[in-house]
Amino acid sequence: MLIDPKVKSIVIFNGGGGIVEREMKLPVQQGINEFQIQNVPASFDPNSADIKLEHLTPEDKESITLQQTVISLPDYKNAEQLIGREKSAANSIISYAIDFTRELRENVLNICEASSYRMYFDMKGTFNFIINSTKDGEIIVKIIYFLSDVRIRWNTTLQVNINEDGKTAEIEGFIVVDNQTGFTYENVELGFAIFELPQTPSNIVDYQTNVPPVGLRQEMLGELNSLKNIQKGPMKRTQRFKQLL
Amino acid sequence: MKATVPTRKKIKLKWFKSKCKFNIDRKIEVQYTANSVSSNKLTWEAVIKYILVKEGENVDLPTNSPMTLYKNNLPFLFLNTAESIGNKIISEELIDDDIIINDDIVQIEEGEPKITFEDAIQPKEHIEVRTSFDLISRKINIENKLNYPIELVLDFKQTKEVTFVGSEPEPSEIEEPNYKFKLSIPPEGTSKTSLELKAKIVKRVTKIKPEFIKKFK
Repeated sequence: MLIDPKVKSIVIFNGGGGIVEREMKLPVQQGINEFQIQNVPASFDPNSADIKLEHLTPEDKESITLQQTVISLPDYKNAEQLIGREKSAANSIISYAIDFTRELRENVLNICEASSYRMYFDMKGTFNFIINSTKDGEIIVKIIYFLSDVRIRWNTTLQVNINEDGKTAEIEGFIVVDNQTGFTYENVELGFAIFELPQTPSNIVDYQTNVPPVGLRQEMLGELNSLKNIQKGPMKRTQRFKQLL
Repeated sequence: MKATVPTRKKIKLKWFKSKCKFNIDRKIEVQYTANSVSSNKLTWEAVIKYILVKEGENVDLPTNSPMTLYKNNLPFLFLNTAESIGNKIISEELIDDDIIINDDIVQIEEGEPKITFEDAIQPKEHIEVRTSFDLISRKINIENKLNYPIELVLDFKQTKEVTFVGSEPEPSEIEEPNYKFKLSIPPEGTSKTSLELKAKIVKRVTKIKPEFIKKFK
């Protein structure tokens, strides 16, 4: 059965990527129940993907169990070919569109823009699972996976209004979430974490290196900080705003 | 918090708003070598950083978060955060271009050289080592080009070659090897600090040993 559980929450990392939690109440029939989750981005980490069952009654614990999960990512080369074709089609649309100045303009531009930004991580991954049940019933399924896509990230921006005394101020903090992925997260519970994914070819822009994504969890457990190449540049100079008029 | 994060878009969410104490930390670090201490003119840079002590709950900010300082509702300075510790938000350090520092030599009193010898590579040669302790006076002139008064710390750090003898004014705080001067400079005004320093000057000259110098008749 094809299912599209709603994204309940997403914890976004400031260095890019995040943890997605999706949830759905599913009907199960006696026997083997196979489910296929839709809209799982290819940037999900297969090693950390997890399914949790929340039983509605205590008796269900014995009768409804998770048998297995089936996870795979799209073939990298084929996906790249498809993306290439989409991009050239988008270019053709722009080149040959006759009615490109009227009300269709916005829609055409959106389609073309989406194609030009698309990359491997915007393709869909496969995340299936099988539930074994000895009776008909219902179950809440929670799906959790990591996104190793640096195109979704957050940062903060601060506005400091200095008072006239020069010794006190009012500080306002904003969170700016930048989602350059091809996925929209509608009305989700947002969480923010200070975390940086290791900068390996698996999660930086892959289309140039031609290296397919690898598991994230192992990388995360590794020496994260040793991978950071922090080089201090020359110190900046003050450039104070001077009002002329 | 709940929000919609659309594809290929940026969203801005309110996080916190609170009052804070606003502190400015300006300092000038001065340190000489045996060579630089006798230079006619040296220039130093004033380094500035802003420290905000927030009221209420602590916040963890990622490093390098953009920060804009506003004065009279106008943006006045754009910079980034360096770190946040507890309720303190500390900005990155910047060179303050509105503070001009000139460090000029006033006087050098050369000390009596003490001559010792060291072996050279060639057996017929030796190295004459002339060690002298020179007394050097320098004047540091700090000019505040801003239209408001500032406070800063001039931090002289002595080294094994250049040590502190005295100063005018006296250091506000001595924590060897650092001698700190807390200075207040009026708008468009200057501050002068004189330093008396002792520098160990070592000169090495390779010479032929006297017994090998040919004497012409």
